[in-house]
Amino acid sequence: MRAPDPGRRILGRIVRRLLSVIRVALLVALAVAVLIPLYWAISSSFMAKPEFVSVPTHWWPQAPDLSSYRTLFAQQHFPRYYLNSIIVSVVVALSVVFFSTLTGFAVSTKYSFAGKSAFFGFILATMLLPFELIMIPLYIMMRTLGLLNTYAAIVIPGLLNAFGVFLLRQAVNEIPNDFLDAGRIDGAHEVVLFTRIVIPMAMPVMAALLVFTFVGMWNSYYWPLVVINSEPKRTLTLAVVFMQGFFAVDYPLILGSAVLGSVPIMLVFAFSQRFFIRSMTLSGLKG
Amino acid sequence: MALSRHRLFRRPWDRWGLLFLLPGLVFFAAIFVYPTLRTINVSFTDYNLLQPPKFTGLANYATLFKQGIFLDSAKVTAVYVLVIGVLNYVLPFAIAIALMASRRLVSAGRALYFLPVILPWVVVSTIWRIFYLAPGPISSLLGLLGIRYAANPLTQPSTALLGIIIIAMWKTFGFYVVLFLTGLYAIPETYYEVAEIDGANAAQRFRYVTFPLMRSTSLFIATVNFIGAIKEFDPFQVITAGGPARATYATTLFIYETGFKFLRMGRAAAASLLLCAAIILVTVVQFRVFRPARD
Repeated sequence: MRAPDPGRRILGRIVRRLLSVIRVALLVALAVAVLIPLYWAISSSFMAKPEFVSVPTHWWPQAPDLSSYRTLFAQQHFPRYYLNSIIVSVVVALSVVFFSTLTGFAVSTKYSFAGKSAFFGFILATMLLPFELIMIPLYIMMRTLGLLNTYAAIVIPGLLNAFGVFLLRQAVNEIPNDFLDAGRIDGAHEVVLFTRIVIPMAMPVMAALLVFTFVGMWNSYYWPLVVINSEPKRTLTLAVVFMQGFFAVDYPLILGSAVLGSVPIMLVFAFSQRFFIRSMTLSGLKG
Repeated sequence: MALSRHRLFRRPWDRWGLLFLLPGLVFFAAIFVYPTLRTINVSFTDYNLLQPPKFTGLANYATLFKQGIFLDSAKVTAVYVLVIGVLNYVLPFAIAIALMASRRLVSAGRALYFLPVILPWVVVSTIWRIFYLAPGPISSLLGLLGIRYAANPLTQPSTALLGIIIIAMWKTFGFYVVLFLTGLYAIPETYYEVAEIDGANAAQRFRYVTFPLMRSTSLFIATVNFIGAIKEFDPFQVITAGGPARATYATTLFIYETGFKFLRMGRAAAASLLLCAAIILVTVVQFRVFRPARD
């Protein structure tokens, strides 16, 4: 073997260094590109209209102006929008977590009964269906039941979903069989096994699913748009959109409503980033 | 073997499994099975919610294929899905690999790139709709770089869809970066060490180690990305409402407006069945393409 030429080795090191500098620069540029529109939206929401339209764009409000937020909060229903979003998101998140755990336990490896895997496959298959497919009959159902313009109408289709069942089934599968068998030998009822062993041991995954579902429901728009047309029942996402019809070109105000619409989500994210990443890690790569 | 009188259950407690399954089954039957059957049924009728449905056979499907507006919407969705499908695969993969090479950036990058993912689509749409105004923030930024460009892509039929695609990439790429990172972390370090000893360069390490071992991750991401893109509704409705000149009139928007604006439930139902068929078809193809060579 030929001894490596010291000149070439140094050159190689320089090239590698250079490449890594370029790589880091690109990754940082990408982060900046993610942040700019968000930063701009927040900063613009604190401007009066004349400053907002000035060219070139101001990136910091020179005359900070709270009138957008004042107008927003002066709106009759604004606190209601928050309340509505909180109610539907909490209800859906709790329901999804509880019923996913129960259903996940049922279809896990802890039980075996005829048709179990067929049922599970059927539940998973619902993930493929676009919401459009079931939307019209669901709307007709809600209308027949007299539930249009109610929280119930928003909440019902979201009370359980295949993703949650899939996630919790994985979690339950990982509970050692011995734990359940020990309980059974001690004469514990299956319901007790569920509440005393399955739920505590699946808790981290349940927490991840809770956050995930809460955010998903908070962000939902399509179905609420279909079943809600009374102003006081609007969720925050609906309100953000409908306000754009009402305030037309008052852009600082519209941006202010967008900021207010995402503050709760940002808070949730800030406190639960780990959960989030974990729930996604779990979702994909073990099945 | 006389294991049990009941063939349904192997052990005495197994009946509880079925019992625990019941609420879920009732839910999925009521929210998915029954409505799906009802949609199939409605798709063969003329139904406007007010009068009882009139059976019209395949008329709705025939109208859809004769109507330029539906076929155009299918084209918009196809272009959107195709472009997003490729870009949202290649870019997040490259970004995840770049992050792995600069480990110190992984946790910060992951958190920052993930930020738009958690924001409501409605909020993202609203912000970007205004961010695109020209002259505005974008033309000002480009001006700093010495580029004079002041046009709003959303106002031109030729660029409006591209404008939405850029927003969708901005909103969703972080999700796939995180998924790719998870897959990359699962590849044992030793594989790369062996490849390096064998004298493999970066491209070869990707070709022979990373890519084959990311097959199942790839399948998952391709599927989730594709289904997400084809179901997309919020940005089309909020950012452009399908315009200008229906350049961003996606199939989902077509279904929504046909059903809830024009009250043509039968036609909307038929279109939603076609959309569902497209999803199932492409998912099956993806599973074929990415199926592990041997497993």
